[in-house]
Amino acid sequence: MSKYALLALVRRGFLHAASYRLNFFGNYLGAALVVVFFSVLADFYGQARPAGLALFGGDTFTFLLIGGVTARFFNVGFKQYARELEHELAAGTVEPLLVTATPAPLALLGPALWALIEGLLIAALQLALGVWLFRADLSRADWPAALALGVLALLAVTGWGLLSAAFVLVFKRADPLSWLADVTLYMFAGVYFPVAALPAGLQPLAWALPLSHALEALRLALMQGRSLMELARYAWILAGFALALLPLGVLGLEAALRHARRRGSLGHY
Amino acid sequence: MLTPALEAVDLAHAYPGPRGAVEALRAVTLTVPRGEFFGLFGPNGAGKTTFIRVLATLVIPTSGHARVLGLDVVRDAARVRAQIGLVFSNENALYGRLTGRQNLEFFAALQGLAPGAARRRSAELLDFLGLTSAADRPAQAYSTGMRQKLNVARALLHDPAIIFLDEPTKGLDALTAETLRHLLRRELAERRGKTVLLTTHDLGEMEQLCDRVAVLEAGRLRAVGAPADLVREASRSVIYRLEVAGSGPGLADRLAQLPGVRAVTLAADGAATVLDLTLARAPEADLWRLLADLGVRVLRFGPKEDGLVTVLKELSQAGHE
Ligand SMILES: Nc1ncnc2c1ncn2[C@@H]1O[C@H](COP(=O)(O)OP(=O)(O)OP(=O)(O)O)[C@@H](O)[C@H]1O
Ligand SMILES: [Mg+2]
Repeated sequence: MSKYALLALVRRGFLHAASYRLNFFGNYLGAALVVVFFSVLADFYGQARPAGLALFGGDTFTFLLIGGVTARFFNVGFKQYARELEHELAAGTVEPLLVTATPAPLALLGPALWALIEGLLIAALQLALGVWLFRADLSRADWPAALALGVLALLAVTGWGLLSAAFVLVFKRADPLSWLADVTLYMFAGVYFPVAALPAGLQPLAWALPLSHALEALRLALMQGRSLMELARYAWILAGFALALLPLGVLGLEAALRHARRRGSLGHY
Repeated sequence: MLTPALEAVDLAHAYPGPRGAVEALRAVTLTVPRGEFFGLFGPNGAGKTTFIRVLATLVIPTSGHARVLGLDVVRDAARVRAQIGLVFSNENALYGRLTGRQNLEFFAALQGLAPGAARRRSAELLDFLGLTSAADRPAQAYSTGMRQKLNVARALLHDPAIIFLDEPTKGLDALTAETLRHLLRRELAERRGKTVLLTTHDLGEMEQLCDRVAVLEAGRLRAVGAPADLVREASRSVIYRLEVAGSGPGLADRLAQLPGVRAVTLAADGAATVLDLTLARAPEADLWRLLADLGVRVLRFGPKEDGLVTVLKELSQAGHE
């Protein structure tokens, strides 16, 4: 039953996104241009060879590419649930979704599914572009390890996604959350520079975020070909985050739904 | 006894607000048997939409209970949803950039229909509601009435046993509204035995469609009964308006002599004659016989001040005494 719902949610997301044609293709173009930008940036800093990169093997472009691509994808994971829910609230479609036979959490999170799939597609495209046009060095990559770590990180991010959806159900706007996601992601998670480059006082803060671990582990797997066994410590940490955040997200969403049902505010925006 | 379609027991709901709670429903107790066409009537803000939203699991009531086919709307919400279809009073609750067909197929899948079945069912309903020629245009390009029809189609996708309609004919032209009423009454209620709960501000519609009506006022249930009974109870004398073709000299005098007729006034004369009759009771056979004997063609006949308006007035006056 939910199987058809899942497919329909993805299809609806696609139809909706594709109906904004310029935006739809602009998305891909933008993602490709970012890769060019990384290459220019890497050339500029290339000679300097920052010491912090030694851990990963020192190729600045590959370092930036993996950071940027991963951050872009997880940024979708962070924000899309809330963003789509805002749209649904404005369109008045939340109540129609919630009176269907589809369980409420799926009906509320489902609208973001297409964006996640597309995000994955774009990430693959960016990596391919990086390798073919700009010689990113992924020759040693352990792809199964990277995939497993990516899935664990995505589960942790989904926990956050559930919480952000809950936030929107109660407060109707996700702006404070997106701001938080941007700052934590781009400041602390080691997207453009390794966590080691942060002031010592801020580093513990960085390690409190699942994405710092995810990024470091992904870089080690993709740039140095470390196996999942070697990266087990990261995998456990990410699993821990997922185990903590997912139930928290589910509880948060349930509480928010109850709150909105009491106030009759499911249709409000 | 068969479990009733809908049941409310001491149902109360207060919306929290900045200046204290708004009591939208106060201790409403009501039973709707299966297969009944039931109407909710009352002024703006009476609590009709709230009542529907509670039964449709969208609002958790502050106290009391509500059951749909014996299932509690709070504890068994998921199973209740499988049994109900809801037509929202806000006809915008659709995906505007998707076509009518895509909207229906999407919601059909969310109701658990397999892709093939979803396609068939959507096409069937589009046809049923006369939307086939517009099916592949974006819903945001639909007129209000077309959107409202799509809204109705969506509620019927999973063939629910119980259908809630919140002001379904709001904003529809007379012909479209009549088509929809026919569809609701003949197809859904009479042919398929669905239970229908409908709200409207159109009194004629209420009397035409509903087996029984509940009158709500300020969250309280003020009366329940067949529309005609409510009219009879409330009206020791009711004014009826009679409109006949042509001019009818002497008609007023002849009518005034009938038993039960208290007064006749000529409201308009010309191509058609319009008469207001004050009757002590509902019109009887001798009125119709007289009209037939005189060979007049009746264009319209009905309560002038609508029956339910009278009910409502009387009830609200009683409430303030
Ligand atoms: N979500 C809400 N939050 C706060 N108050 C609400 C909410 N929804 C309705 N109310 C209040 O509850 C009362 C009943 O509203 P409701 O919408 O049930 O009335 P109604 O009978 O459907 O009216 P109408 O005929 O205008 O549609 C009103 O006083 C309204 O202001
Ligand atoms: Mg209403």
